Amino acid sequence: MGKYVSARGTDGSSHELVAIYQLLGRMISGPTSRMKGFSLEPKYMRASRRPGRTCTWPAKLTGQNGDRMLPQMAQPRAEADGLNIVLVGSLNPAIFQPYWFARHKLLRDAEVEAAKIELVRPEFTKCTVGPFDIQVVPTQAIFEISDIGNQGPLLDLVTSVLQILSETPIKAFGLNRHMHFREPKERMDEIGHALAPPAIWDGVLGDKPELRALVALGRRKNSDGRIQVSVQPSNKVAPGVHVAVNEHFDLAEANMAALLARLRRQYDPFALNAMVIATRVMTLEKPTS
Amino acid sequence: MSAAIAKIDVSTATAGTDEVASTLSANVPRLALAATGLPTLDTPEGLSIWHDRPDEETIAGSDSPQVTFASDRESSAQSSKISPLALTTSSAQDQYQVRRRWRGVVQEISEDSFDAEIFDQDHADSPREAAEFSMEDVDLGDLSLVQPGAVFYWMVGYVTTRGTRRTFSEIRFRRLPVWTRAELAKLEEPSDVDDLFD
Amino acid sequence: MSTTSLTEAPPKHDEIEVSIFGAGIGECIVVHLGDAAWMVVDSCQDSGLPVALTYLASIGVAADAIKHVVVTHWHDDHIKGAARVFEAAVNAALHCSAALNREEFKRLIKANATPHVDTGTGELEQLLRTLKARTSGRAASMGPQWTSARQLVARTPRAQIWALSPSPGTLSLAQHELARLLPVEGPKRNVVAQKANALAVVLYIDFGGVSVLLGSDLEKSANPAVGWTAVVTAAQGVGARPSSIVKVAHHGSTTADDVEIWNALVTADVHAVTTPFQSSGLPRDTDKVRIRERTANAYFTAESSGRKVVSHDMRRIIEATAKSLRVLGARMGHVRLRFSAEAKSSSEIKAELRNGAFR
Repeated sequence: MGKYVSARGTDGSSHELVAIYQLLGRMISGPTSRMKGFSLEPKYMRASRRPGRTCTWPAKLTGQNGDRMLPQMAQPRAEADGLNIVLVGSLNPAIFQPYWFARHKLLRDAEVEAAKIELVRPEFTKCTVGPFDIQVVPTQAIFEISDIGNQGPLLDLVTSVLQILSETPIKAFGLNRHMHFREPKERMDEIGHALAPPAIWDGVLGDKPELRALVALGRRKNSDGRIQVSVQPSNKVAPGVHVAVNEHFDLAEANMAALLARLRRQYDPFALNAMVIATRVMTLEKPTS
Repeated sequence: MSAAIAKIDVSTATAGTDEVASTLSANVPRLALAATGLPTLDTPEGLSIWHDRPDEETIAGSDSPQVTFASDRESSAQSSKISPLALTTSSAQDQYQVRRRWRGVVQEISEDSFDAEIFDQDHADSPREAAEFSMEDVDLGDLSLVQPGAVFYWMVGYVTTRGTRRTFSEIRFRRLPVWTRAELAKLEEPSDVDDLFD
Repeated sequence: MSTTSLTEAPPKHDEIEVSIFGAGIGECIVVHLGDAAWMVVDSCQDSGLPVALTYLASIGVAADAIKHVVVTHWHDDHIKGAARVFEAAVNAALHCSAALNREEFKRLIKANATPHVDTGTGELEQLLRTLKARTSGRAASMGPQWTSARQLVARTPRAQIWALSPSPGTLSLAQHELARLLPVEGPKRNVVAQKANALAVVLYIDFGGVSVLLGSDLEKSANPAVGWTAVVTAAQGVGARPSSIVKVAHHGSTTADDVEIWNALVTADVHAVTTPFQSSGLPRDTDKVRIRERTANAYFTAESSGRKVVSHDMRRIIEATAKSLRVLGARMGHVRLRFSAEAKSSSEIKAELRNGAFR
């Protein structure tokens, strides 16, 4: 298998992650002989020297010989990278007003005072407080950040809310990471052709079939969640690619302690795995053996 | 507490059910997988629906979560079935690109600065680092949280606001529910930890 | 006495070794007591592994040769990897400060189980759990050997190991010392290592001719019943002779520099080894000067300040925010001192410096 790097969660714990090789491998099927042995770098680097090329490629992740590793490959840099946590259960939207967060000191007073409140009703609450977008209906709550830098604070906020509202019945939760990568059209085509080889559409979709979106399902090692990956053109950065990863966790019973433990355990590995998936899609690289 | 964050009395809010419903439906496309706060570009590569199962359950729990992709142009009639697990509601004006981020623990504090040990959050094999931070770099709302042992997040990168890009550096202290009397009382209850001692 | 490159052969049966490791975060002392019996005092890690285990493996010594594991300090930062050492040291007894055998410390361990709270007790808790698992089949489960001043920790054919602290006065104060670290109503915070030195275990090892003083992190106190004044009293009580090797207490800081240590507890030509604590920049330059004035045989395992970070993505904004940014524990320095079990003086001790250790 490939060389790996270790990962650490926000609590300093390390997590073992494995990229979804089989999942994406199933996507690359059929007449891919031209993809086998495909070397990303030479062709892409030639493209990068053309005027207008903007995507940056930071230094490769370097690995040590540890036991919790990520594949060694160039990590693409997302121009927009957001994360959200979705709780599904029985909720009271009216609770989630900025003042409630201030009362429990979960957010800065100044952020609460500057909160943007779109609506607070028994049926629906939507507000933005500090870096957090909060949207709640009776059956679900979404807590979102638009920059991955607040990954830790987002988990802190949601776990704090759950600890305070410990009687709230939650039956499922979902984690979502949305990454937008700026890419030239040529590169987008390369990715599209790799994920869905165009040859299969010969004669039925004209000369230039295009992939509009792809959704793949699978599971992550050491997780009992279900993963859904979608790849499509980005509407945030154009031209660009939007890779969205979400992972769904069902809860067998309404047990807040178990929910919190599971959320804390899965959160950082999920976020890291989402980047691994995005890296695989954007680089089309497989780990070196 | 200023009036801006006074509790909103939902019972007397002027918004009626219809307005709520319209707000909900107006937000439905925003809840779709790929629709975010930024306007969709008018290109042939705009998003299109790929997967639509109108008869299936929309709330999480289905074995085949639906995914719908909707642009602002195409969405409203077709994106009524939304997987709650593939949502984004972001309405951010600023677009952040975080380049480096650390988690830190305050070690010692002085009048105008504090020492901390910081850990790179994206490269766990990076060695532990020590840094000194000025209190001026701490948000006023977090100053009371600066104590030995307090945890904070530090991130740097670029932020683009209305087309203008600049660097940013932000320190945010961790906020958790405080120790409650019940939690503290639990520490005095017998547990298997007691068996570890003679 | 020479400072040559390290040999990878283990000490002979009648050869004593005191190896002191320190990279800037924590420290570890590995002692050959003679006759292939080893003792490990505290622990620190190098590339994620306990340095005691990697060093012993490098000289062909199996972990089951470790007969004693002593944790002189309880905070994770000072004993990182100790649990792993003890797991490997299947024949070792575990020794801890008696000041920890208290309800307050148990509560500190219990508090550590609270999510997002780190009281620094994880390593010690794991040590105790390993010990419990190891002894659970016996008629009476055994805890660690709780160690206090004037207690004979262990006796081997060639050595007697005494604890010179915690003193009775320290044991009386332990409740207060630990209670102030316990959580109270209010924000959840971690417990940092700097606040946990008073209960440390100072060890005196008598090899018959040469003796060794391991000062841990004990600091001095105005109260003669605690700190180094109490240690001097205990040393007299056990008939300790001035030591020819000393692990300087608390990283050479002035808070641990009691003149009585140099007057009464060590020889004039003592081999004094200081490990740094880079988070606090210890030992400072003035500390080094002072130690070098006390003895001609002063060694330091690593630099005090950590390595300055020289390249970074986003360097300018990082440097604009962080007044100083230093990498901690970059290099695991090693000072090895070997001498014959029959040696009578400091001059017969051979010192070797490795991996950046310096005089």
